[in-house]
Amino acid sequence: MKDIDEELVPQIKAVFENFDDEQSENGWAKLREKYPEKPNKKLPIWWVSIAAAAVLVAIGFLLTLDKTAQKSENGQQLVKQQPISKPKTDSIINQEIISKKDEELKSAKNSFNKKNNGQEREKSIIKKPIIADVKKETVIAKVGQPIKNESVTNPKVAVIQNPINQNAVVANKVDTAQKINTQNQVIANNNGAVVKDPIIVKKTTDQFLIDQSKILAQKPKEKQKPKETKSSIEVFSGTFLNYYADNAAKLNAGFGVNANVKLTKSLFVSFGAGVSQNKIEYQKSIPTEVSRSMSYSALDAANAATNNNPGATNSTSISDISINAQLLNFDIPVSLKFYPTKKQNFYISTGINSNTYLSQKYTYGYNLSNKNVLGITQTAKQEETEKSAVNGFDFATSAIFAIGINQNIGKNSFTFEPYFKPAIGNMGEKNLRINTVGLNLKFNFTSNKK
Amino acid sequence: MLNTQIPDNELINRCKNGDIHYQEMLYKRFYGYALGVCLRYLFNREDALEAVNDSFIKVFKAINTVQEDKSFKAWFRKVLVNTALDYKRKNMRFSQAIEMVDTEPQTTYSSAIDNLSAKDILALMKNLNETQHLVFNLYEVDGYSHKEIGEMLNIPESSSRTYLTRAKQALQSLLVTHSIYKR
Repeated sequence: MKDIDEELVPQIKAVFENFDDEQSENGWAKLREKYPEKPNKKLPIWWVSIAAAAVLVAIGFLLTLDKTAQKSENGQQLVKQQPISKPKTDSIINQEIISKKDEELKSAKNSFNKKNNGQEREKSIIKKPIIADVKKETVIAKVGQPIKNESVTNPKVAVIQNPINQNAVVANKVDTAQKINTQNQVIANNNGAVVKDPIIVKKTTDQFLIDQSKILAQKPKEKQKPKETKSSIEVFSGTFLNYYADNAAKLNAGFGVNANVKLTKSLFVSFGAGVSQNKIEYQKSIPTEVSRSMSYSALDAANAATNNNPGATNSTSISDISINAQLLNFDIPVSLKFYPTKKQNFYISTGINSNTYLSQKYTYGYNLSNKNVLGITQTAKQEETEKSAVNGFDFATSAIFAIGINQNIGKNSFTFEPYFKPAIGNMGEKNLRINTVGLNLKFNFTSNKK
Repeated sequence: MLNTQIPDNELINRCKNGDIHYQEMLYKRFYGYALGVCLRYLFNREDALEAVNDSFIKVFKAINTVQEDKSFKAWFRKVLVNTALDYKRKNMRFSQAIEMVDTEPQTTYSSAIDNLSAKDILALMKNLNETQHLVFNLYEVDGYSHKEIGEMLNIPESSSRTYLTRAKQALQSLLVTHSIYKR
């Protein structure tokens, strides 16, 4: 064995320590084929998948909305028709018809009166409040109840005996002068239906007054335009990918609430709060800030041993470092939203995101090598974990660039918001650098505060 | 400035900025050393070059963690050995298949130990079985302890000692058989 220990081993060391095949140029050319590595293509694939999923959700959502809208339109038509067949809602119908008829009647009266100056009696009748009775009579006929008055023989009156939904159309088409004639005839011949039923006449007059007052009370509400939105609250949830340089991307999720306050017609300021999980892995590329922040306790211990006993070791080093960080963040985003179109169906947003932390966990592994004075190197794999709770506040850790696409649901809206948040500051105790791409789904509750 | 004019520590510091020019300089300075280490484990130059380049890529990425007062060469050797072993593990089946063809005892050695070339040494090593060869290299040449070798090769520490003894016996036998003596 002496030959081996004393002669062969030193010869091996000598030969291979100074080995050179003079092919370093070729070796370097080969290395350059792999280094620097091309940008990680996994991210765009993820991103395309997320975008495709978002588009599918959007299409499904729009289809559902269309169906709902159709149903509601049909429903509204039914609702409009239903009261007409019910005598209980006569007063509402009366109001609509009366208001239309009032206008038509007035214009018709003018023209009619000009043509029939001699018919003073009729004029006076028309001018009197009894018009209400006349109209009620008309409405009674329209409601579908056959006019019992035998004297009503005018075919034009017969037309308005049809159900009101048809009458509404037909009556509008009837020339106003003819209507006056018809009504006058009804008035003239109302000894039948109206007079025969004095309760109806009395009730109609009273009801008319009540209805009129209701109309006056209701009309402003109906005509009231929706107030302009000054502020809104939105809740959101999102999924996103955290990455840095060519390290593997990590999928994360979060949720929160935002307030939007109108600055100008097309500019809003948005601020809010959210909670998100942030995982990041550094293996291939470790940011300088992170590597400086890491405390390798095993390395420190080894260095301390060296300082205390300089003869013990002469070199300590670490290699193959990987760092995993897991943060539970409290996010505070502030951004400006600009709506380029009048419809305000999409917006462009930019701002900053600040963070504080509910929990932080850092796990890092590395190989620790110690070489002693005898030249024997010892290597051990090390894994260390650090945890901390609420710790510090980092202002402007990332910028926000987002595009929001709104889909209205009544007064509220649903927003798809793809975004990109490049790191502009360090996060957490270990100064993490995290870039984020993701998609927020937001539900916006619009408030009408002036 | 010529490659040789920059001290190692200075060159490493410049590489920390990611300057490809200085990385190339570092590569060429340590290329021979790196290839020598990897060849001892992988025998084949192509495989060794792959391991060398993978090791350099690791070094360039983690160079910020290198401490100025520590030996770069020792740290780099560690990276090289680990990378070579990883490479060997990944290509184990393939290398075993090759070995069955190539492991005929070598007979063309120089006449004296201190005259043995790299090629002669590799030829000698090829006569050892896989684990004997690894343990011999790790313990005798690269300075790992039996405990570390046990962890690295997933074998008991005592087995590492046994493999080393057998490797030495085999090498001694080969030296005698082929009349390789000190000049």
